[in-house]
Amino acid sequence: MEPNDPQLRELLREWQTPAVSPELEARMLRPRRSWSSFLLYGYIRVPVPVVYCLLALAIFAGWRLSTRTSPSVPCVADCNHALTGAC
Amino acid sequence: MTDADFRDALHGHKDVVHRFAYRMTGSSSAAEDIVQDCFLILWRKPGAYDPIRGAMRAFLLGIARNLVLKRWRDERPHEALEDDAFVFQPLNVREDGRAEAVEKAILMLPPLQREAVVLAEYEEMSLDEIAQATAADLAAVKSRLHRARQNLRRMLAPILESKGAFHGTK
Repeated sequence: MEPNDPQLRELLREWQTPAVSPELEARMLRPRRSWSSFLLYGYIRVPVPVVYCLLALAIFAGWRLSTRTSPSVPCVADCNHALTGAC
Repeated sequence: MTDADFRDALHGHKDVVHRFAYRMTGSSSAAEDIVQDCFLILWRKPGAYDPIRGAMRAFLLGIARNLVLKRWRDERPHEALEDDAFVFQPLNVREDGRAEAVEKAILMLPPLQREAVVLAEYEEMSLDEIAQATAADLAAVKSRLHRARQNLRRMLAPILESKGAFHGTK
């Protein structure tokens, strides 16, 4: 502040800030994880729209599998050659 | 940058960066996010810091300042960083809420005035250091500080006047 304004300076000094939380420093100094460790214990954040897309894909894939036409089974009942095995 | 260098930088400057970020945002969680991002940038791009160009403190405060202003622009895309035309009114303050009134008054300042007054008053940086940290020229820093002081005096007038009257009667 200006040298001739000690009153304002004194007043401004009354506003104190909270201390940094100890967790912050611990978090920042945490040893970095190796790739093998990440593959076993790591996690990633996935955006919600991506989750929607994946869900839609899974539902679509499930629907396609369930409606897939199964190979037609030959009907042997009406076949004249059923007994001869020529059907 | 080695782990030891990073640790030293973190121990030595995290409080300064946190104080600055807190006074600029008024939020503990935002301030901690800014501290974390600031040191992450230092870790990822240690070459960006050149000791010849200035102290580590000014360098880190410069990064923190950019992060604060980015947040400001994201949250208030239509508000100007520097609003010269706005006239601040005296705050309605209770006698027991002086620190809260100071906080409110500083957080009401436009960001460029606020950073100037925070760095000058609370971090006791010289005009040259502020100019370096805020990437502004000296004249701009002087002008912002001058306007910030005027605005603070106007907003905090009820306290300053009562205090003056109190001291005058003693």
